[in-house]
Parts: sequence; structure tokens; C-alpha cells
Amino acid sequence: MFTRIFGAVLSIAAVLAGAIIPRVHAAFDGGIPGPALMPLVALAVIALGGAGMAWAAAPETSLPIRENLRQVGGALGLLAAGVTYAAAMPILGFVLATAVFILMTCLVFGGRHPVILIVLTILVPLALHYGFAGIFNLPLPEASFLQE
Amino acid sequence: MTFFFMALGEVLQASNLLILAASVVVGLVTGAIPGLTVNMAVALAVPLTLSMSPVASIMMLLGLYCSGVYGGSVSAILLNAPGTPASAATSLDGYPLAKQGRAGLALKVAILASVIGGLFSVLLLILVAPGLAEIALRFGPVELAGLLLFSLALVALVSGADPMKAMFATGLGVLMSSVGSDPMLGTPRFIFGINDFYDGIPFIPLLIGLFAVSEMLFAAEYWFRNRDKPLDFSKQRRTNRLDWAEARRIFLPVLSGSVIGSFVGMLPGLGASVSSFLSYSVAQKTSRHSDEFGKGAIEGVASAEAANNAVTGSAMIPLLALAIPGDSVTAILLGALMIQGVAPGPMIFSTAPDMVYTIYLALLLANLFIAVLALVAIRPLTLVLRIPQVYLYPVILVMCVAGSYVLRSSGWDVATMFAGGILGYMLRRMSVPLAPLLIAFILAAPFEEAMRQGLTMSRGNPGVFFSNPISLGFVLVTVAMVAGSAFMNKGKAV
Repeated sequence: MFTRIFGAVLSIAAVLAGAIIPRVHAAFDGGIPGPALMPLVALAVIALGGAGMAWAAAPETSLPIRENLRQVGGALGLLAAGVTYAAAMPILGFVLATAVFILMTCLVFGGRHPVILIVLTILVPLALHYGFAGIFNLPLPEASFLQE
Repeated sequence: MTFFFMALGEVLQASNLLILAASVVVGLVTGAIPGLTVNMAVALAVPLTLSMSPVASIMMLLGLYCSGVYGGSVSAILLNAPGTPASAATSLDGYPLAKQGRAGLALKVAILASVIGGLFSVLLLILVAPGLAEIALRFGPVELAGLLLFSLALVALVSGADPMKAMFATGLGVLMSSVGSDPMLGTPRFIFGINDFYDGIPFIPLLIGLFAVSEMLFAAEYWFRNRDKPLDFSKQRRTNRLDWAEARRIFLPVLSGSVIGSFVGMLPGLGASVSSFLSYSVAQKTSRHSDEFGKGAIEGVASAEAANNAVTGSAMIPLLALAIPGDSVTAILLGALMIQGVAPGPMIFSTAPDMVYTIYLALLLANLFIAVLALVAIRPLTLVLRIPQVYLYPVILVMCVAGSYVLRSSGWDVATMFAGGILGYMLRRMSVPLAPLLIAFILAAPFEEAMRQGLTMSRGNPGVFFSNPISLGFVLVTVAMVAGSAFMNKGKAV
């Protein structure tokens, strides 16, 4: 059912976007094709695909809501941790931010082996920093408080 | 011949051979771990190629590609969990063989079949690609637009189980590629006042997000729990020996698998999964032991493995000769080669013949390295399967972030990677295939250029695509494919 609704919404959205785009960019200008031509072709393909999904989507087996939320929760948890890590990298620097991220993520997701945790937390950030910056000469962010 | 020896000299340099060997090992490990895909490995390796020579980059990426496809068979046989989708057919007979205490035999057959399939497809590449490029050299914008329309339609109609979802993915890929400056007039499109969008959506962070980050998010749904433990190797050496009788049993399945895989690999959008299942079903129908299939027939393992590895070389035929990627990995390779200043397409055979020979030699050597390293590494690979995912995946996410950042030392690229990850995750949850999106994202720009050049030449008259016999042929085949697919879909719906 979800796929059918999604397909219908997608199809309508593509048609609406297709109606708006020619007001911003021209599809043809004096017989010469303009910048809107390709996006309009893409939107037509999306509208067709969406209509097809709405018309003849295969029946779906959906999980109970609680199980579904638990699954999505795991993915959102990792995503939030990843985004926080990326945002913290320019402040804490690559090595420190990576160490904290690996330790916290492993702990949150159930990794409890102390030796593995210590080894990963210390060795991985240093090894990656050495690999990227030392061997491949690709600089990684340094801690902002060390740059003063 | 001079170019061949130049390429041979470069390829045989110790540092390049070491890079190839290391990438083969990494590819084997990545392919073997369920959840880590070849796409992910190649996508994560692309940022590293920025500081490498073109030859070293090509060897690293091709080593990862070829060995990653084989690596998937290890977990398919020992865990009944294919490391890559292409190895799903291998598990049908590989796992029953392992349960009978013949895991060693199944793995040896998988190595042999993979290497033969891989080498067969490289020979086909060497024979076919230059001729195809010569034909393509006569193409103008009208013919090229027809060819690219055909490729996009093929990708949209045959990728994944649901052509409508693949069509949506293709449209989305084309739409995403129109962000940034218009290729003909330079007019900015869909940049919404954000200067970073002027050059379009950055390719490498997008593909790392689509293939690697979405994979991580998917694994996080199960809180990184390894659900299975690999079977132990049998100590019964006699039952695991590949003797003459068994070699005769697998001869025909390997041959037919190599031919089927090579043919399927040349067609955009189909990929290794389709080829392995097709080859498996052909082997089952033609085998004298068809009743053993699904219960532990070595022909099943041999046919599936020969076919999925035969895709690796033949997928390079449209890539090299026409700059059309056959699957998502070759789409990534196309992007990586262009970053290195190597532009695949019909001209490459005259402008950079040394690079063409490098690709041939790297593919041949990668397959030979797989034969040696996989035999040596079978037992250590089974240990890798025991590593808890909870310690592995956070490290890979760190590599995704670092790999995206180092391209331009840009936070924008990291943000693009996360956006690509969210998009890939959502699409995968809805069973929308990602390969058509990526292939369309790459093909859309040359298609737009060719189509608009053709229309400009005819002052906006679309009849130009129907008056040219080659372009008309492509358009007719495309229309026939769309009509056939719609008819089959209607049949399914009824």
C-alpha cells in the first residue's frame, strides 16, 4: 500500500514540478533546446515510474510498527552519531573526534570487549591519519584549539 | 606494440604489483563479509587514488572489483549469507556442500570457475572493445543520443525486480545530474542560491553515501548483530580434493557460465546477479545431475561463479569503447578514471592506448592474483567472517567521512555524502535499485549534450532522430523494449 501511495504522490509532484520549471528556464528558445529540456524529460520519466508504482506495485509484507521503529531507530542513531562526529571533526580534530566516535558507537551498539575497544579507539584514528596525511598526502582536519 | 610494452613496464613495477596484491586481498575480505559490498570497497578507494598515478589507481580499483566479486562466494558457501548479491546463486549449492563437509571443495571450485570466467571475459574485452570503438567513432551527436537513450532505457527496464521503481531511479539520476551549470549555455540550474551547487552534485561523496553509508545504516537496523557463524572446514581431505572426475563435471558449466556472464556483462544494467542466476538455471537444465542442484551440486557453484566473474571483464567493453558503464561498479570506475584524466570512450584507443593496455593487463593480473591469493587466504578469510560487525562498521563509517572530506578538504562534500546516504537508505527500504540512479547520473550529461546538439543542428526538429538510420534503429529498439516491458508488467498485474 505504501508503495502505491508513494508512487501516486511522486507522479503528482513530478507533474507539478514539470509545470513550474518552464517558468524559470526555457525548454526551447527559438527552436534551440534550452536548459529546462533535460529536467523535463527526467520529470516525465519519474512521473511515469511513479504512476506505474501506483498502478501495479507488488504486494508488500510490512513489519509490525514496533519492530519497524526499532529498526529505523538503529539507523537514525548511527546517522545522528555520524553527523555529530563530522560536525565535531573541525573542532576536536580528526584523531580525537574519531577516537570518541568509535568508542561511543561501539558501546551504544553493544560492543563491550575492553581490549578490542582500546585497540580500535587508539590505533584506528592514528593509522587512518597516518595513511591519509602521511602516505597519501591528503590532509585531515586538525583540532581548532591547536591551530592558535 | 610500443604502447603495450610501455604499459607492461608500468604494470610490472614492484610498487604497482604490491598495490594490486593488496587490493586483491582487501577485495577478498570486503566481498567475503556480508553487508560489505564491492561497490562500497571501490567507492571508498576512489579518494585514495587522488594522490596516485593513473596506472596504480587503475590497478587498485580493478583488483578490488575482480576479487570483491569472488570474495562474496566465501560467505555464500560457509555462512549461507552471500557476501555480494552476485554470489546468491553460489549459496544454493555451496552451502549444502559445506554442510556435507565439502566446504574446501566448494571453495576450490569457486576459485577455479571465477578465474576462468574472469580470464575469458578479459579475452573477449581485448577482442571486441577496439572494433566496437571503431564503429562508435563514426557516431555523431544524433547517433550518440540514440545509443545513450537505448542504454538509459535498458538500465531503467532491466535493473531490479520492478521496472517502475528502476524507471523512477533512472529519472531521479537524470534530474540530479541537471543540478549545476547547464552543459551547453552555462546557465545555472537548480542551485537555489548555493554556490557549491555550481559544479553540480559532487560525484564521489554522492556514491560513497549511496553505496557505503546506506549500507551502514541498513546494518544499524539490526544493531550490527552477526546473525550466523561460519561452518568449520572439514578435515576430511579426500572429500575436499578436486579430482579429475570433478573437473570433468564442472567443465561445461564453467564454459557456459563464462559465455553467459560475458554476454550479460556487456549489456548495461543487468550485472553479475542476473548472470549468475541465468547461468545456474542453464547449468541445471543441461546437467545430467540436475536432481542434485540445490542439494550440493558442484556444477551449481561452478556455473554461478564463472558467470558472475565473467561480468567483470565484459562490463569494461561498453565502458572503454562507448563510455557507457555496465553496472554500478563500472559507473564508479568511469568517474575514477575521469578524475585521473583518462576519458573512456571510442577515442581512448587512439589518444591513450597505453591506458587501454594497462586496463587489459591489470584485469589479467588481478585474475591470476585471485587464483594464488584466494587459495592461500581461504582459511584466514573464514576468521574474518567471525569479526563482530559492531567493531567493524563504525570504522568503515569513519573511512566514509574521511574519504569524502579529503577530496577537497570540504565540509560540503561530507554533507553531500550524508545526504546521499539518507537517500540511498530510503530508496533501499522501498526496494528501489540504486544502480540505475548512479548510471543515469553519469550518462545524463553526455546524453543531454548529444540530444541538444542534434536538436540545435535541426533547429529543434526531433525528426532528426528518426531520419538517421542508426539513431532510428536505437529508438525503435527502445520503443520495443518499453512496450514489451509494459506488456509483461500488465500480465503480472492481471
